[in-house]
Amino acid sequence: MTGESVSSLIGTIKEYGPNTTQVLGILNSSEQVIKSSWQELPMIMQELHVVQNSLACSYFLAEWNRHGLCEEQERFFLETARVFLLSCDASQVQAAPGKFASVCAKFKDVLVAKGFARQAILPLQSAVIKVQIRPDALTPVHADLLQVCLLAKFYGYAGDYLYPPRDTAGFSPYKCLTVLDPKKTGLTVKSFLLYCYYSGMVLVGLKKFREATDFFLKAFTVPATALSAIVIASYKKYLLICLLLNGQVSPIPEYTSQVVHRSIGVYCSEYLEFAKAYASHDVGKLEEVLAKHTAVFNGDHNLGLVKQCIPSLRKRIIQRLTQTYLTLSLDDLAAKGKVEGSLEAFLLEMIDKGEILAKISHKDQIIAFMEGAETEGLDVGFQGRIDQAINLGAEMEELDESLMTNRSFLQQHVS
Amino acid sequence: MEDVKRRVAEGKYAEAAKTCERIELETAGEASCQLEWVYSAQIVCHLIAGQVNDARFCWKRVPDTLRENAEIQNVCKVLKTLWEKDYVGFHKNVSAHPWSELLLPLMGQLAAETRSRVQRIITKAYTSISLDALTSMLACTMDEALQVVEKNGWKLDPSSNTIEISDKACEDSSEGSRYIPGTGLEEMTKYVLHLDMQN
Repeated sequence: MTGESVSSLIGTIKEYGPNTTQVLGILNSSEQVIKSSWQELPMIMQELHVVQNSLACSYFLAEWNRHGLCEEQERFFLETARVFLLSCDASQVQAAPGKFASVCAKFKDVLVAKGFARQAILPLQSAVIKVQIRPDALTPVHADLLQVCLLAKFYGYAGDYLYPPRDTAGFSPYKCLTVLDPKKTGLTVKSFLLYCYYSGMVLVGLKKFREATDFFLKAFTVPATALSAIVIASYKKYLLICLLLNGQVSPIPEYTSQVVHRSIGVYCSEYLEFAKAYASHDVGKLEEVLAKHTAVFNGDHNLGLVKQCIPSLRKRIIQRLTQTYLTLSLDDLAAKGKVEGSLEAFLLEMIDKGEILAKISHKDQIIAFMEGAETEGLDVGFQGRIDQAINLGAEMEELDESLMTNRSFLQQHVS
Repeated sequence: MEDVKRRVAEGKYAEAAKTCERIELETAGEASCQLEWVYSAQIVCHLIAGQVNDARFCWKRVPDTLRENAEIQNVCKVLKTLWEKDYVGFHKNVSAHPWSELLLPLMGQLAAETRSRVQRIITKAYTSISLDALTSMLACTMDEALQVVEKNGWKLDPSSNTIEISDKACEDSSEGSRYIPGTGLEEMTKYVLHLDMQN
């Protein structure tokens, strides 16, 4: 019985070919048939053309996301989905972004479970391009792609390809994709949160800490009615990176949702204790707290970041010395800064990175601190910043207009 | 491999590394790419281009089956010394190991690149440096070090055996970049006028 209706369904689909609207209607009304025929996929896929019938392929392949697969089925699915993601027709899969996203999710899950995350990168990258309605639109596939890049340790690759192209003035290319359109891209809350979280992780790997905080901040300040594990994990990383960058934790912004604001601290008590120890500018104390909570930090996969905080505190102590002294003998500095190992190598690194402005003199065995660190970087990308501000203004206006004409928004929030 | 060699010959090391990465990604069917030169050349190219972090991640991707490979091991030692900024150890490692045909010219380039990087750091960080420290950081003989001193216009003070670092080039460039160029000023005037009109 089902066999018959499936073949007649396929017949109709092939008849309409790439006529998306009609095929979409047919597929939506034959949901039951698609559900019951999932095991016959190998036969069905032989009948359908990956490019001509991309939309139907999406529906049939997505059905497999709801089932556990045996080994043979897995192999078939991986091969079929790989070809499909690389060559499907963009306009067709955009008609049912939710189904397409499930295909991608299943494809990623199977490969990740096998430990072959690397193989998912190129197909998913192609999938992102296919399903994007415009180059700065965020899709649910972005999070999947970032996840496999992280697992396969292709950090540089993720950084190069996942963000909007560098704008003309060369201003920081690492910013969030701004076009969020759940209706057209099938974006869900979870995929947005994961996108922010994974982006932050990629940027931490690339040592772009400032940009990374932006993403983590987005993850936990997004309007929410309940706490999520992603939000808590993002906040923990945010805390640590704030310490690395600024030496202190910035307060949670006012616009954060009540539920997050109230209860997030409960889940991060170890991290708050660590931040407090950091603020005391006492390396010994900081190491003590680290040792006490090593298991927690390790369990959260944050031990690496936590450990980076210790040299960072040493640097901060030296930076504070530059505010008090103009010159200091190298011996004094070693005593005051409590640097282990080679002080000079440590100083060289700081000077090289521009973290302090100083000159070492071997002749007199002193170090001279100089002023003027703050002017640096002001002129860089000045034009880019102006352009960015103008673009942001235009985007805000657009958003404002769309909200003001949105009936359900007005009913809920204005009247 | 030809593609990578061509990029290297053109001096485009970052691109050569990207090409290697691409080969890795396109390897189908296995958990990871099994060609050892893809990793070793990629790591060295990243290092030449100053992308130590990317080199480190590439090292992390080397599959267990290749970790024991002698050349990969040696590249790893070089990477480790650069990661720790141990320039003395770096030069020791570069000259201590026999390199394959592909890596040999790359290693030469890397050593030269690292020397000039060290010179830049010295210029930035010292007003005077002892001759011993200089020779060990550059891993060269006394004579070669003196040549470097002369080339950079530094001065040797024989009484204390230290070198005075003067930093002409650095001063010039910072003066130049502090100023917003004429075109930028013009643009800004336009914006300000525009904002004035809106008020």
